[in-house]
Amino acid sequence: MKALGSLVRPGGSASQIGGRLILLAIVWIVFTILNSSFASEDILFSVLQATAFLGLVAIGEGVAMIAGEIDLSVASLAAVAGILAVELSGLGLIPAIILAALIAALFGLFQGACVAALKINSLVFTIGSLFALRGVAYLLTNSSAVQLPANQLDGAEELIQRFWIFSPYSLITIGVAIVVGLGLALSRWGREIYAIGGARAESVAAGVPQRRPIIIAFVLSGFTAGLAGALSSIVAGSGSAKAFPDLLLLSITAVLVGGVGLYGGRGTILNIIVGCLIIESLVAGLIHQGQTGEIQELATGALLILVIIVEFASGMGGGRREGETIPMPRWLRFSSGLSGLRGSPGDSSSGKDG
Amino acid sequence: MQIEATSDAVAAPSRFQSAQQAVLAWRPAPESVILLVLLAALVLGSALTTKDFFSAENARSIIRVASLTGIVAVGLTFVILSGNLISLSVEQTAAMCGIVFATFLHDGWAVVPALAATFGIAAALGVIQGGVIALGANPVIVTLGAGAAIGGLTGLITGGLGVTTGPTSLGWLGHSKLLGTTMPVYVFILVTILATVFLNRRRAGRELMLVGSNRHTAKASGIRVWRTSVIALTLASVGCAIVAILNVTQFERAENAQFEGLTFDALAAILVGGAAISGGRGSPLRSAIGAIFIATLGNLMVLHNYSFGVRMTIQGVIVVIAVTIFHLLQRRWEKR
Repeated sequence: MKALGSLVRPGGSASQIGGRLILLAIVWIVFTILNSSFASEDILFSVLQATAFLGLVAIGEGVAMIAGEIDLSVASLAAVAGILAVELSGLGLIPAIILAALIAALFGLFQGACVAALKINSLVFTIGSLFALRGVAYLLTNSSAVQLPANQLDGAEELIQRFWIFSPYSLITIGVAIVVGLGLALSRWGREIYAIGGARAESVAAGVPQRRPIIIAFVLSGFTAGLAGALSSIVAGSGSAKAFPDLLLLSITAVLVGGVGLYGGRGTILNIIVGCLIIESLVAGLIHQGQTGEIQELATGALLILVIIVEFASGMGGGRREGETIPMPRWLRFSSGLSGLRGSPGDSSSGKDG
Repeated sequence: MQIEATSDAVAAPSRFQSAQQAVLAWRPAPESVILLVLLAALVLGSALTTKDFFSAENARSIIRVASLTGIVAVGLTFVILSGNLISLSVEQTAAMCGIVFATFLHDGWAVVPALAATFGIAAALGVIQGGVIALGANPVIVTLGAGAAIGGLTGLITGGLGVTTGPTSLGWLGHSKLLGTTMPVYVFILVTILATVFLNRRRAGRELMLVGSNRHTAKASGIRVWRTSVIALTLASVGCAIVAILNVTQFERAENAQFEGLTFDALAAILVGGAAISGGRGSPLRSAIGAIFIATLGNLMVLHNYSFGVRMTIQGVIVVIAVTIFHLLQRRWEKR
């Protein structure tokens, strides 16, 4: 029971998940009132399918953001991994997907090692990877799409075969979420990630290794982005260099709706997944109402703003009073050139213990 | 050391008795030197290795390519300099400005009211976002949410379709040339000059720089910190509007997804210009040169017939290298 509680609690309160579940319930109730056919297994299945993709990416990005870092390369990396998976499909679909995800994880390892060793802020560093990986995606495809061979399409179909409201795809995401969530909550490595994200100065004083958590966070964000890209491209039967254009901002939005905040040190995988469920339920509801993509975009923006206002009002949004130092996310505190002038590094922790 | 570090912001222009003294005492920021060295090395290397590179015609084409990203980068520089990190609503703001401007013209408005209304809308978007940030919200989150909302609204205006204006009396902005180069280049130069003057010579600009360098000192000095957020976000929005309008005059058409990738293109230019993302270090001119640097690199690779994928990969790697160099050097200066 204690273990279960700590799944919810580190850095956040139980009300955090409660509020999100209420919001999720409201979304479902409202759309069901608007059209009673909304609350069906079909819709639930499609929401879970969409969440399987977004959630997978958000898990990795979320861990990076809990560590106080940010990874801007996830969408480009997902595109590269998708192309790799399709091109490697001769090995069999499952090995191809695993291999593509591992290659992405390897890139995450490289990126995390660079960020940790150079002590460079990760926003600045990963913006280059955002471009470079897109370039690699174009290189791999010669600027066109790669198609899955026809004899593999049946196998790809099995990944989204429906079992009640689940599919192998969504079960993979649920599995990853459970493993990462438990690891984050219970393992020493997980604690270290919270520690360096939440209170960096204190974590140094407490002897928390500073590089390992960053590297683990980036390996995870690389792995989940790669896995999501590979799975989605295989399921779609093709990989394209232009794939996933909105994924980066959407995954950051999902992580923020999931209550991680930009400052790190708080949030849980469970919250992030619920955040994704809220977004995808909202989108599914709007589609069910026959609304266009623009309305969906508008609603996603409004949802983010709503969540931020609520958190801000309850003093959890990392708010500051006028004139106070902005609590600096860790990926900004490094390399600022002037970081020493912005108050002690520890003051950034003041904003976000809710 | 601390005062030294903020000298970008507090060096008073009136310190010097004469212009000559000022020139002699002028010490460029180390980042500027590095940036110019990098650019010079790139130009020299390209000129030596590449036929057709070192010509006036090619230089014009580089600046032409750099101008649109550059204008946005110059506007966005204020957001970074003021310590407000980045704005993620750049693409959507530009798209909305383009759509509303084209819609006004399409509906038969005269050019002047259409321009005024477009800039008014851009400024309003900036003021709203800046105002929310000034209340204490995080700039990244606010602009991320606002970007989605603005993008959605833009889609609603057009129903997802583009807007065609037909020929307008502003056509000269998009089509004619002066001294062999297109008008956006002059707008780019003008915007950079105006931004530099604002930052260095206007009270509000210097306050903005100080807030970015050291929020506590700025607050203690009686500077209205909230105002700098509003100004910074508004100027960034106006930069987007300028680019959007230039685009409409050139293509006589505006589309929703026209500016995809603009945010990160502009941010890359700013970072290659050596700006510190935590604020207080950087300048509009450096961001402009950053945009030109990236455009020069792209041009060089085009001349070598590299494919789009190779160009983008190399550009990304160069951005990583540039920001790493700046980062390592800045850390070294900090330790001194």
